[in-house]
Amino acid sequence: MITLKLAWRSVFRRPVQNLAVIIGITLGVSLFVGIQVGSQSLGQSFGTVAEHSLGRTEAKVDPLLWDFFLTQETLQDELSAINPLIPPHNQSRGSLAYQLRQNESVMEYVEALTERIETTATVVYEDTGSIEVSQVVKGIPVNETGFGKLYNSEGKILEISSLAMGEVYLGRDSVSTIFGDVDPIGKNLTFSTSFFSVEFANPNSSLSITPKLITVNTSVRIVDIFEDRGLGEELFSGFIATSLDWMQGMYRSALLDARAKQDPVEKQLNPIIGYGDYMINTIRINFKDKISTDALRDVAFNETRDAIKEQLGGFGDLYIYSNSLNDIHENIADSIENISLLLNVFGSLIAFAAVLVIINIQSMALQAREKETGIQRAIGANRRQIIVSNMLESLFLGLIGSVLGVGGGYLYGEAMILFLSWSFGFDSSLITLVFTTDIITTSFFWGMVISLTTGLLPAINASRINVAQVLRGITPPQSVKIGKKSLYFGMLITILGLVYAYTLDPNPFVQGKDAFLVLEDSEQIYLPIALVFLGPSLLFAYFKSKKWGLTIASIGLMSWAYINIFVIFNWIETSNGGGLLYVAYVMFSLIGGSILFVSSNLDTLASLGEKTFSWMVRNRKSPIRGTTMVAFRQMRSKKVRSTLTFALFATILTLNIFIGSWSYSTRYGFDEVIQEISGNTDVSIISSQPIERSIGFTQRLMDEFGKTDREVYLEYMKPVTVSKISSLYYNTSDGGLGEFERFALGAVDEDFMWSDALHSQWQIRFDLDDNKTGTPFEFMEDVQGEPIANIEDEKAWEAALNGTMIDGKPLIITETIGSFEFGSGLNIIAVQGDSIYLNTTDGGLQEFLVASIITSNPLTSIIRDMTHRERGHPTGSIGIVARKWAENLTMFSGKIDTEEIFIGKSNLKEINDQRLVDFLLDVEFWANAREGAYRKETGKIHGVYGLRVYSIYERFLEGQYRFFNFLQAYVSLGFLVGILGLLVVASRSVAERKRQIGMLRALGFRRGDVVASVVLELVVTGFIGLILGIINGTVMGYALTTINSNGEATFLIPWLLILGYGALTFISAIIAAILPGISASRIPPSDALRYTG
Amino acid sequence: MEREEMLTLTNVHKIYNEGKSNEVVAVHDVNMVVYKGEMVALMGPSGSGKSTILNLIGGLTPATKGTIKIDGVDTNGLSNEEMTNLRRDRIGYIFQHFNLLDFLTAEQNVVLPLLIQGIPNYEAKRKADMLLRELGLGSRIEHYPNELSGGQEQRVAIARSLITTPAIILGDEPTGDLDQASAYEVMSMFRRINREQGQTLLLVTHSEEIGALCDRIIRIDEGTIVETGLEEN
Repeated sequence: MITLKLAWRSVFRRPVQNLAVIIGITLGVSLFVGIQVGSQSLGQSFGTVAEHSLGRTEAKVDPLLWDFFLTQETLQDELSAINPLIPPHNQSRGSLAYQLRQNESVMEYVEALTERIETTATVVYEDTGSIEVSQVVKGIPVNETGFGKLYNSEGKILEISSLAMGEVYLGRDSVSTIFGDVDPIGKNLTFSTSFFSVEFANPNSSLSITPKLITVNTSVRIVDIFEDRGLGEELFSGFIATSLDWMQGMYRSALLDARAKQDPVEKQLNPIIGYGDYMINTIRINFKDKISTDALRDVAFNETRDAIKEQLGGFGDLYIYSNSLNDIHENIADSIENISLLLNVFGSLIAFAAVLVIINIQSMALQAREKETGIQRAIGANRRQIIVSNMLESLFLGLIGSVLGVGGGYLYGEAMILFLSWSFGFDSSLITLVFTTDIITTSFFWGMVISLTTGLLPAINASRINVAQVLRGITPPQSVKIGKKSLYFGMLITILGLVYAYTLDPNPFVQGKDAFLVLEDSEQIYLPIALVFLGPSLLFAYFKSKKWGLTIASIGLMSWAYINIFVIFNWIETSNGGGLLYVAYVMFSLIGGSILFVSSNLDTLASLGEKTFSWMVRNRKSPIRGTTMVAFRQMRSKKVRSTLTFALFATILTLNIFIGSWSYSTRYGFDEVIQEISGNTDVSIISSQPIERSIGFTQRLMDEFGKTDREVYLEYMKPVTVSKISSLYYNTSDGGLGEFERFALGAVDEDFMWSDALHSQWQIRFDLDDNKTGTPFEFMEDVQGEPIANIEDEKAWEAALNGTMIDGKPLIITETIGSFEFGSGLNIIAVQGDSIYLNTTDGGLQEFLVASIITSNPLTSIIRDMTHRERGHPTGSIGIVARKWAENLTMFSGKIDTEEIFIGKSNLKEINDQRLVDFLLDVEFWANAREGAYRKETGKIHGVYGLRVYSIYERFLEGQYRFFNFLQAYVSLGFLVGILGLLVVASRSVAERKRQIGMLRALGFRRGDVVASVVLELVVTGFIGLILGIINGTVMGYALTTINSNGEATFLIPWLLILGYGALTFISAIIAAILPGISASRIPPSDALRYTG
Repeated sequence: MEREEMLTLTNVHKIYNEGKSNEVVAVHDVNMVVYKGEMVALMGPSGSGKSTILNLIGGLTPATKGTIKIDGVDTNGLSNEEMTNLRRDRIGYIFQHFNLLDFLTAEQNVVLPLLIQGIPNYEAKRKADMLLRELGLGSRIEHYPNELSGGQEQRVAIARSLITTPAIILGDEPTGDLDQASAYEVMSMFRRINREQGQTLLLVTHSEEIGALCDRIIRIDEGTIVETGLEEN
């Protein structure tokens, strides 16, 4: 009972110090609670946002390319009438939605099935000439009740049924790009889109139906704007919404018009046939209410999908089937897991820092109470009572800290959600804070764990004091070596580590380097090896000294981390999506090892620091040398406190600099790669329709913008594609119908190689892979003397350019690597020598030969991005054929002459130069809007759209940056812990040294000298932490950048950021030390000398 | 021949918490003088104001009223920094509890006042080593305070006070924590310094035996000087 009383009194007897402990525990608990609340809420919110964007849609069927349409019965019957091989609609895939509704096995699960048209169009605002290519347009049925809502800025629901023919709602995201500052409501947009007169033909039949491209040009009126908000389906507002009826009518009119205008002879030979009145290309499915779980939904989805595939026959593979709601649920689980892991790893390091602060406080407190403990022991308290009394005190503090931590965690979770919703751009009201009883229990658990673990060691130490020596004020010297028990315990751990390492599968001792091929395997090897490293250190600690032991252990830990970063990371070939834990191990080893190393050699380092500092101030006639000596010697004498303080900063700064350098390298580290891949191409100018060569657009562009007296001008400009074909790749390798894959074709001719644009700084690389050696090489026709590694490739390239054939087959050259698809690896769809069947206008289905593989080039990336940016990258990417063949190809779906691309190099050195944005706006104005603009001259519905090559990468960066910003903000929280720690250390240190300060003042220390000595000690301690943080953080940043980019990114050290953290550390240390220092210096020396501590 | 005054206190008062309910008059109208080359004991019972007078002289606490002159310098008009400089350059302090810095070696403790004065390291070390050897601590130069005996610690403190060759050394019960043998050892050292170097010393003590070893005794009771030990008194 007396123990309890003593403990309870102690809680209130040292209010400042215990308040600091409580704050430390509160921070620690808040972190854990915050991580739980934040990650669960975040995961939930991603799901909520995604669910809201789905509306009630539970499954979707989309075509691989939007210009394919799921037809209604009319087409099928029409085709059937022409060719008896094609069955009428009620026997085949035609009228998909109609037939699905008749299908009992589908309707058993499905409550509603809605058809839509979702496509892309070019839109032009005639008043300004602003143009937006590939604008997504959704034709939504009037009776589509359950699948989503659009909200305007006043929160009013925008009904599709309210739209008259030709009226649209415009998404907020599209407003500024098209209209700038102009209010778009009531304005007209010219709207242009294309489609094919028939969907596709059966490649296995002799029937060849040549699809005809039909272009629709019309004017639409904007009646309202919908926002990125509200609980509707259309949460993301980057599209145009209109009625399905109107779109279907528009397509049908265009089709009939084309039929009417078709040349009579051509009409006889190859008539335009097409869709019925109700063409659609997307189906959205809502299951019945009884299908309420993921498992049931899986069953319903599989049944429905199979029914649709059966309905479509082999063509079923041309569509993407999404079990959307279940996918979202899976994503929620994955994102919660990943975010939790990430935040827990970083959070545990911050919590570790908080624990260091608490241990520091507890140790100082017990040291200050040593005499009191000695008296208690002298009057009869036993060791157990001392431990229990101290632990009870810790427990009280832990309880108070936990209660506050729950509140703090709640607020922290709220703050995290606000920050996340801001950085990821979604409405925070959509996110519900997940705050369960589990979280409260966990917080109390962690509060107790923190308080007890941090209190235990100091309590044991307090119970072990030498009563006589303590009462006489003597500090007994500590033993230099470890005892036998510690040695045996350590050896046991090492042996266990060895045994564990030998039982690993794969085994590093047997398989060597091969055991590290898979990231997850390397992860399991890490810990046992780290344990094995402890062995030698314990031997040294026993036979030589603890200092030696600690030094060896620290070197072991650091070496193992460095070996992993610089050697083993390079061996790892595959990962199953893990890796974060591995990085965490490495980080813990680096931080732990470096702290141990500095701590065990603090004497030497402090002595070196003192000498250096004294040397620096050697010529100053001031007390600074005395101040220096006091500060450095004080730091050495309070080794534990100094270690805990710099360890605190080392941990926090490692984390911050790690995230900072990783983020910085991701932001800027790819610049060289991008520049290399793009051949220093700065801009791409896209025309929404082909520009006739006779107009001489390139020349006119160069006349206007080439080498003028503008700040930014074009040095070179070249057309890249003249026509572009969007078609299907039919893979014959597995026989039968095989798999259809998306495949875009680009056409090239001699100009493509721009032999007239010889410039050493602007050589576009075409890395060809001969598939024999696997060695990429550079092929640049216009560079004299450039070695050609594979003559066959060169021949193939030349044949493709000239439109000639090899083995009687026209050639196709394919690109296989998504240059900007980091981490996604290779997407090989065809290898050299494969055959690809393409339908041609002059010869029907013809076999093309894959002559070569381009492993990278800038054009495909640009083309691909422009073409598919709304739908993601196609798996098969792009193929290039000669212009001659391109013009004769129709393939299964035909030729889309919708875009033409020019690439240009400016006089600017950096492709990320912001001045290019204004420059391109000038180009757009010149081409689209000014009086007598080129766009008006052609009389076509098109315009020119300027794109910085770098902006493709910037889009990728945007998401990354939001994530990094969040992480940076999250780890910056550690600085709060750091500053708290420093404040506590400084104030305690000053309180302990009151008498000493009085003595120094008596000896002639001025007030300023006293403050300087306190500040200097803390600044130097913080500086050690800073150096460790910079080294560890930079190395970790390097490791993550290398792993994440497969070594492609250049690792960049963020000097400015480091400078900022350095300044922050110094300022924190100065602020933390200066107040206690000043207050101490103000105590009259006579009072300070009377202080007995 | 008229003796030169090293220290003069004229009508000095020290009142703690003046005007408050817990007001304490620690020193009342003190007038005293210490001449150059004198070794004077300031004696009185506990709480009589001995240490307060020492602190007033050393400028560790300001006088409420009166004038204190040290080596001709009137400390009244001095700023905090000027007083600190005066203390640093002209006064040596020795405390009852030695007040050595436990994280510095004997040599570093002695060197510190010189470093504060801005003397180069090598010169400060040379002087400190010489002084420590003179005081019989040649073998203890690199030892930390907790490795020294009480007598040795106080000798280090004496060395520290002497290193700046001060005008006057103020000792606050310098033998209070020492056994008799060590106390005599320290006092004989003071005497030697006084005789050989003409060093002025003012030692606070409550021990008659220690006081008897000085040139004269100034007695204080309840904050007032009751005996100056001078002939005219």
